[in-house]
Amino acid sequence: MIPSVAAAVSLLEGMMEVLSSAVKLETSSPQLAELYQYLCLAAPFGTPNETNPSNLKFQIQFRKGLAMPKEKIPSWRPAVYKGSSKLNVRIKEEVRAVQYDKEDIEDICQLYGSVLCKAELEGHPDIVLNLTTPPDSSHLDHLTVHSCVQSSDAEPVLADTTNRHTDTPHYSRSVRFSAPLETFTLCHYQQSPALIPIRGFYQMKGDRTIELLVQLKLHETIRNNFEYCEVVIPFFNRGTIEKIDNISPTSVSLCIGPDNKSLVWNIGQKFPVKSLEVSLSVTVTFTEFPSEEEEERDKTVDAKFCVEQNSYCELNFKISDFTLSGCQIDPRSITLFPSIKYKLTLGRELVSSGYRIWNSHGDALGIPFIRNEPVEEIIN
Amino acid sequence: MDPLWYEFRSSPASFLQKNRTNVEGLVHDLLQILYSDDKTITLKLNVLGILQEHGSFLLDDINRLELVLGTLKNIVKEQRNTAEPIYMSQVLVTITDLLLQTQFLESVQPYLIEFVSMLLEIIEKLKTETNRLLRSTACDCLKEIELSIPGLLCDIVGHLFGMCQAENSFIHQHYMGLFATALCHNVQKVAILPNTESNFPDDEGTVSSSLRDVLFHDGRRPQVFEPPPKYWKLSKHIAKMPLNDAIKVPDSTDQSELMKAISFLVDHCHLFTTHFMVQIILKVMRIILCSTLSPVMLKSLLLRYSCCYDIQLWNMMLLMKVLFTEGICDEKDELVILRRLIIMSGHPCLPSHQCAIAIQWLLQLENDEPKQFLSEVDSHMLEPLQPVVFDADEILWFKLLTLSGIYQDSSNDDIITGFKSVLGALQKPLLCGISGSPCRLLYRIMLLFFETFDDDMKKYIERVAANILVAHAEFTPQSLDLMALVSKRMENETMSGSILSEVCQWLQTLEISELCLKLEYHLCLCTAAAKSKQVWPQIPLQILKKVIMDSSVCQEGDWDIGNAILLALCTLMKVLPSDGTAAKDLANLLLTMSKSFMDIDIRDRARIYLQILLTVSNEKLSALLSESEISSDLSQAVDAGISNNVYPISSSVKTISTSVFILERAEYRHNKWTNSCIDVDDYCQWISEQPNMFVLHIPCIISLSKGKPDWVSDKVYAVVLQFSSSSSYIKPPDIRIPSISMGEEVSIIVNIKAVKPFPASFEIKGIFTNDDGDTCTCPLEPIQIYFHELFHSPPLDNAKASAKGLFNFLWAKIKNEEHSRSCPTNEGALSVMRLELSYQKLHDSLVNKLTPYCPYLQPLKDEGSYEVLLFLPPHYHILLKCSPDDTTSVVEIATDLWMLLPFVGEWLKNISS
Repeated sequence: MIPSVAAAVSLLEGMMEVLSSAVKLETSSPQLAELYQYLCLAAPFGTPNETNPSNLKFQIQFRKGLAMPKEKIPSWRPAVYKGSSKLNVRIKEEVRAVQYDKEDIEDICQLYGSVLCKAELEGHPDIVLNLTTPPDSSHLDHLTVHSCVQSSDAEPVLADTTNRHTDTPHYSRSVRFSAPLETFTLCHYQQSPALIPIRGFYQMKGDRTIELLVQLKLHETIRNNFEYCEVVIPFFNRGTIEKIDNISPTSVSLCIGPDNKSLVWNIGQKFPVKSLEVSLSVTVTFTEFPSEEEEERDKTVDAKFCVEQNSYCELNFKISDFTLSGCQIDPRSITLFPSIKYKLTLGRELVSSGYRIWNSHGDALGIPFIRNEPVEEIIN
Repeated sequence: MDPLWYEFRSSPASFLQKNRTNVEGLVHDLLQILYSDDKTITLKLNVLGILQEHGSFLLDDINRLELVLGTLKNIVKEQRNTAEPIYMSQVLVTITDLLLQTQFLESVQPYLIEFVSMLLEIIEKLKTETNRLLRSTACDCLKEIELSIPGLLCDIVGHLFGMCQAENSFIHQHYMGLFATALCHNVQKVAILPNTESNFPDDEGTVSSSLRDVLFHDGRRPQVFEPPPKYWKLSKHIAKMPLNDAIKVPDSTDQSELMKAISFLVDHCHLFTTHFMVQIILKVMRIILCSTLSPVMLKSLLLRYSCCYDIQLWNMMLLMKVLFTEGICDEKDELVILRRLIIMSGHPCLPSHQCAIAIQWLLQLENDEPKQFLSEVDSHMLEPLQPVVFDADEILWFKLLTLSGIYQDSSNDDIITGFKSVLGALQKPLLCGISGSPCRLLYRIMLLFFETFDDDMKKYIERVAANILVAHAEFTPQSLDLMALVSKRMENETMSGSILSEVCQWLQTLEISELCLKLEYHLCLCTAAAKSKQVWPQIPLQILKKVIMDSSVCQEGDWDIGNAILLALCTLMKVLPSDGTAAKDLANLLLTMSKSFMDIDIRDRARIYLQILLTVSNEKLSALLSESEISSDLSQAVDAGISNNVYPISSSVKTISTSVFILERAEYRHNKWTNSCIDVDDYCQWISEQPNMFVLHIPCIISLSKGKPDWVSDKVYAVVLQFSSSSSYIKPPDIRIPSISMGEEVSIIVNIKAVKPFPASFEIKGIFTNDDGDTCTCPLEPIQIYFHELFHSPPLDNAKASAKGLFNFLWAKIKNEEHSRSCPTNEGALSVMRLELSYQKLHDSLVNKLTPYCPYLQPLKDEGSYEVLLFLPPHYHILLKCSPDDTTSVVEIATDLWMLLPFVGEWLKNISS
């Protein structure tokens, strides 16, 4: 049952890919003829068969005198790459966190990443690469892999190689695979417990006029070179912003969001090198409280919950050439069988994904665990 | 895409009718397109699609089917090396489709066998046939045929195996898929042969050699493909086999070669795309279930793909584990798989539905295993199952479901406290009054924890539920549902008793103004409290007393509130003793309600309850409502609220589809004006004083129809005619007629108020009472308001002279406003029409048609044109200027309501025709 559903979903995805080039679909659109051809091949008897559009496109091409390969080649890589060989491996790490500034709720930080790979290589070589982490950080855990992966270390092992820069031993996880031609996600990983990269405090009080203070401190191990770093402070159930006063420090880059209901504080590329701390203090005045109709429009649970002092701010940032877990691909560990010459490109980045700081003076949404939290006493 | 495709697909029959052709002709045309060199590949593919999709309609004749099959086969033979690969492949698909779907399957068996031979010939040309799409499609066609007629290819499995080994290009998976399917059916055949009666000629020796000989041969097949004997019967047996190990091949069967074949498939699995891998592994699993082979050969697949994030493969591996509970994994492997499953259930990179499926698999495996393995694993390993703030509601639910199962017998206080803190956190949105998914989640979890954990947790849940009710009475329905579920599933009344008594005590402390804020919910709670044996009845009674005596509910007279109060009082009647102060209080409250509640229904019911309370003893009442057989219905009725909408609506109204009445229009007479205007100014003044509506009095005659059903009496009573509404008219009032007898004609006048003078039609429904007392309803012929009936003569003195002036005035006014656009409210418009009618004939027609309606019609002029002025109440005009143009007439139209133009055009066309 579930494989059938998944096959149907992959067929729909294939259909979307075929139609993706169409700006506007009309009965005369060539994409519709293409779609029909795609369906003829992908589901000749109604049930999905091979649904990858690029593989199917390759099948249609009729080449005379095509020689039979000496060994069986993967069906998921029908085409043979011609040109200079290139291997591009990129680690995209995401961090999401919720900070409460409360004694009874622990702050939460989740760190997870994906290794994206594009292998334009002649032949069908097997690739082996090592994902390494420094020994002082938590191991890469919870590895889930692409179906082309032949083997991967279930547990991290102490690597033979040492880091070129620090000469410290690394833990590594070896992954062996044979890659398809298109870009694919080689594996996903998670690291726990994760370090909170930017510790933050958000304090806000007031009614029609509020005073708020945001303080952020970058952890010393984090690369202080952001592609972007900004704080968005949304205001729910308060009407639109009439004016902002008493901005401190005065040099900060602060603007009102396009909906007039949020502030956007652009921190820039770096935190101050010495202190690694930034702060913002501002007074915000709102026009008037929104009507009931306006309130109804805010349908999300967050928006409904954010009444009175219940509020939060969100951090958006991206750091290139850095991973919070310390995860990297050791270029010396990459081996190809059979060996060929290729150009290697490695990349890594850390991006925030839902990085929230709740107001210290308000209540917050969260799921604490194994903690003795008394139910709010309302009756007595 | 060719329009032919759309037209035919939407309605084949109307397509044939429209194109004046028949099925035979169309099929010939389609075949001609397929043979044609100058037609596009897209069109040809569409034609093949039409044949596949509408084969049953187009080829319902055996001769036509044979013609099409023969033609398609010829196309393959002749164009195989030259035509586009996709076209050729779709021809193969179409032939397969037609052969398998036809109603003449038995008749076309020779064609089928011949086609299988052709397909085999295509797939055998591994090296010479470079058209890989054609070969892969031929494999798919053979697989489809084998799936439809399982066992057909049994005798050539070895031959297929040879081809699988030889094919190295990317299409090898199609060969493997075909081979796996045929092999699976072959093994199933061997398994079921000893279990069937003597339907098949095979003896034991044949059976035992089937797998050995058929699988591995010299690599050649007979020149002509021959199906196995009795393959139809065999295929039905194979198709019915379930996916389990109930039927196996005999132990004596040599399976060594079978093992080699399976190993070959398993070893090459990593080269297949996901869909083929899933299909082939499914076949391999089925083969192993049918054989006595050990599933351990699948272990490598299981361990490799169980950490794969592809949901299809991953599910397949778990299905494998469930099917082969023993013999595939040792304890260490089990632990690895379990760990991976737990990882999947909380992995932030995976979509939430995949995490949810992972947890459901965990629960499934936990239930399947004889021992509860989750509770024995290291708590660190269970970390991904810990609920976190980022979890979607569904994931949170599944995680807590799993964890509560693991820790249900735990005596660790920290863990129980942890569960409590989760509840505490989840109640926060509800304390802010947020309903929807957070509310559903919390109540589900409260029920789960109440059923799972001990008394300490139960008390905590009661407190959470009470807190929510106190903070937001809007959650009363959910809380009452929770209490009802707990008492039903666990036969536990203490929960509802404790929550209700706590909340009711709090309600007692409220000021009346606070109590009235969410009164409907508080009254629901009072009713529930009155029902509960755990709550002292005096408490809800005191709350009700406060509401009735101290608030203004009686003066306001809201029926819903009154009904809720009566429901609570009625429930209390059952439990309160009939003597003593409580009964007096109850009687007083009912008396107050019966005297002062503004709604008459509530007053009446309060009086009835009071009478019952005063006349029926408490014992009798309780017995009546709770013990006897009849009482269960009565009790339900009381519980549900007497006289509220839970009672079924009486079905005494009989609906008659034919009309019982004949309604005929009598002669329509136009209104006569009581005054007349002396000049244009006077007329303009009169128009401005006209109301915005105009009443049309339509005289009609109604009588009983002779075609009425026999059971309808010859005299019907209380006849009510109800009219439908129309956007330009006010809904006409109902017309009531005391009675109508057969042969009697009753004159009625239907008064219809027009807002805009547009033609309209009014549907009429008749309701009457038959002489046996039944109420019946039937439709009547609709009343039509025709356009010409709306024409009136303007009230002018010295009509001709004044009308001329008025015509010129209005024409100039409309033209002026139309051109200047100075008047924003201008609704006027000018238009021109040419009528295929001579000048003289048009004039005669107008005189003929318009005279009965007394409009202004200027006589023929010498210069060759004449004018018409029509007045349409309440204050609109139509002006016509007619002039000759050879044999036709040109009519210029001006109106002060542009929406009239289409009606004018239609009316003029009717005149000219």
